Amino acid sequence: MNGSLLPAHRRTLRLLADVIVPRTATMPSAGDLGLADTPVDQVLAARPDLVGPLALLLDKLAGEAPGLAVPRLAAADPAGFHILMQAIAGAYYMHGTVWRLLDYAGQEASPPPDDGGLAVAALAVRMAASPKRFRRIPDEEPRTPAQSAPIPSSASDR
Amino acid sequence: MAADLEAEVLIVGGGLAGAVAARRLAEAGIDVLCLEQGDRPDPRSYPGRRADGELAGLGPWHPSPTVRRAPADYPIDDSAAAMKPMLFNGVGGSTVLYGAQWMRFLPSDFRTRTLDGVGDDWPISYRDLAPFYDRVDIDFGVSGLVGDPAMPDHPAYPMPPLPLGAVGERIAAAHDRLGWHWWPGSNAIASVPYDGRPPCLALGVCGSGCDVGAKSSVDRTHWPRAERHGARLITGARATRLSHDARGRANGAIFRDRTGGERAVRADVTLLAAGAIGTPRLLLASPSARFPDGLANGSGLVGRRLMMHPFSRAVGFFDEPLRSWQGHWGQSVYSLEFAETRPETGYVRGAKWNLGPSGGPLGAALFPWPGEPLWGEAMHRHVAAWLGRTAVWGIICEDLPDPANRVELHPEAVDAHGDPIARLVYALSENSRAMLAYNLARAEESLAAAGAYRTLSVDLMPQFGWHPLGTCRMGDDPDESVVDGFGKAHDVPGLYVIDGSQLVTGSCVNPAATIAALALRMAEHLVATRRDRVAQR
Repeated sequence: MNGSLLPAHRRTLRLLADVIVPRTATMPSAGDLGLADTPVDQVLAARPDLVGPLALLLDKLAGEAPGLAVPRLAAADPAGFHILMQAIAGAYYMHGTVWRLLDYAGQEASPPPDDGGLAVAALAVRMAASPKRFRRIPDEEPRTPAQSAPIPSSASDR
Repeated sequence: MAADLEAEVLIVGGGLAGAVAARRLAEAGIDVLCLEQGDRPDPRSYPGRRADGELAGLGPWHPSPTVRRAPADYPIDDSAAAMKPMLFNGVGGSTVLYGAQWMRFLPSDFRTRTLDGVGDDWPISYRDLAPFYDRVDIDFGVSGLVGDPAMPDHPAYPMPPLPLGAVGERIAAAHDRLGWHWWPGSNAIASVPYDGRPPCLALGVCGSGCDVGAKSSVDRTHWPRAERHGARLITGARATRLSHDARGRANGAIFRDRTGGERAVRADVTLLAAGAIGTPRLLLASPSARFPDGLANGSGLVGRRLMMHPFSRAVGFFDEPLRSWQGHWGQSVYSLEFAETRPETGYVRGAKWNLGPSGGPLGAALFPWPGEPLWGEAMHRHVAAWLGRTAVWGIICEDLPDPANRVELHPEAVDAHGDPIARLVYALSENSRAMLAYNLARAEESLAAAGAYRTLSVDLMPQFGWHPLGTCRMGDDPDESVVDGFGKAHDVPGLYVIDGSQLVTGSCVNPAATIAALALRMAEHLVATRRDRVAQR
C-alpha cells in the first residue's frame, strides 16, 4: 500500500463513515464533509501506519451492511474498530468546519495571566493551616522546617 | 571483544536518571560516557500544536512503545500484563513525554512494612532523600507552592504555581467545602522565565513533547550541561549485555551501534539507567559462567516485583464552557486525601488524584464511555458534552510489590538482532482493585461537589502504565534485594542500578522526583568515594 486508498476502499469507507458520523441538527455528517476523500487523505498523511491496516479492514467489511458492520466490528474486533475510528473520527475532528461548529480553535497559546497570583489563595491558606495529614514515622524526627515562601496572592509576592 | 571506547563511568540510558547522574559526575570532573539507544528529540517535530496533533499522539507519538514502534523502541511483549508500559526511548527518556507532575514520596512510602505490614521498608528514609529532593527541585525548575499539610516541610519551589484554571478553582472550592485535601499542583514546568526556559503557554500538549520549552525534560535541563562538562553521549547505541572481569567486577558493556555492529565500552563503573524494563532485561541478558542467572541476580529478584501504578480517570461534566482543553498537562491541582492507609476503606496504602486538562475533540470521541457506543448520535453527544466542559481526575494507585509481577526474557521471541526481548507478566491485586473502585467513587463525589451535572469513570485504563518500577529493588540483605541503599549491586562490584528499578515500593505519587533524587544521591556517593575507588584499581 503506497500511502493512499483505492476507489473501492473509499466506497466502503464512505458508507461506514456516515454510520459513525451521522448528520444531526447542529453537526454535519461525514458525507456532508466528503470525509472519505481529502480529509481521510490528510489523516493518512499524518498516520501512514494506518494505511495498510485500514485498507485490509475495508476489504473485509466491503459488502457488509454498514449499519450492522460498525457495531459488529466494535464488539468483535476492538483493534480494528479503533483503526476505523482513528481514520473517520480523526478526519472529522481535524476538519475546520467541525472545529468552527464546536467553537474549538485547536490548542492555543495562552500566556500566564499578568497578575500571576493564586486566585484561590484564601482557600490555600486555610488548607495550609489544617493539621498535618501525612503519617509520622515512629523513629524519625521531623525535618527542621526549612524556609518557606508565603502563598503568593499577586505577582508582586514573587 | 576488544573495547574501542573507554570511560571512568559508563551510563546505560540517557533518560531521567542517566542525565541526572551524568550532569553531576561530569561537573565533578569525572569522565562519563552514556549509551542511548534513541536519538536526540527535535522539538520542531513535536505534533501537539498541529491540527493532527491528537491523531499523532495515537500513533507515532503514542507513549506506548508497542503502539509507537519507533526505530529506537526495543520490543516488549506486554500481552500478559494487565497494565501496558508507557515510556520513551531517546535522549531525555520518558521526560520527553511525561506530564512533569513533580511529587516527593511520602515518609510512609519508605516504611510500608513497619506501618501497614505490607511491601518492605526501604534501607533509606524520607530524611535521607530530602536534601536531594531540594536540589532536584532547583535543577529541574519546579513550580509549586510550599505549605502542603499532606507533605513534610521543605524549601520553597523555585517558581510559583501555574494557574489553576477555572476547573482547578472549582475543585479547590469543592474540596474546601468537603474538608478534603487539595493543593496547587507542583510541576517541573516553568510558570515564569527560569534558567533560560520560557513560561508555560497552557497548550495542554506536554504528552507529545513541549515545543515551547517550558516543561523540564532532561534533554534540555541536564544533558547540555553534562556535555559542556565533557560527558559523551552516544545515540543510536543499544546495550545488549554487560561485561565483567575475571574477578567478577563489572567493566562495561557491549552495544550495537546504528549499523547493527557490536562494539564494546570498558569502564571502571557501570550505571544502569535503562528503566524498570530495560535494566532488568539487560541484567538477565548478561549471564556468564560466574553469574549463570544473569548479572547481579544472586537474590533471584532481578525483574521481580514489577509495579505499574494502576490508573484510571473520573470525569465531571459542567454546563458552562470552561475551555478545559487548555492548560498545562501536568497537574493543576492534586489531592492526597486518600493517599495514606485509611482503615474504613478496606484496603491498605492509597491513591493520589491529579487534575489535568480534558483534551481535544478526538480524545473526547474516543473516551470509552461505559455502556454507550462510540459512534453515531452518541459520538456527537459525547463530544458536545465533553469538549471544554469537563474536569478530569487522574487516579494513581499504589500497587504493592509482588514477586509474581515481573520482567523476564521472552523464552522464544527475539529482536531483529536475535537478542531476547522483554516480556512483562503483571496482574492487578485485589487491593489495587478495591483501591481503584473506592477512589473513583470518591472522585466522582468530588466532581459533583464542584458542580458537575454528570460524572463517569471507567474501572481501569490499562494502557496508562506510566510508571514501571521496582524490578531491581534496593535493600540491606543481599538475599532479599538486588542493590544497596545507593543502588550498588550486592553481587557485582562496579555496577549500580540508578533508575526506577531500585524502588522498594512505588508510592501513589508520580515517581520522577524520587528517581531524580536517588540518582543525584548516588552520583554524590560516587564523587565522594572516588578517591577510594581509584586507589583500589
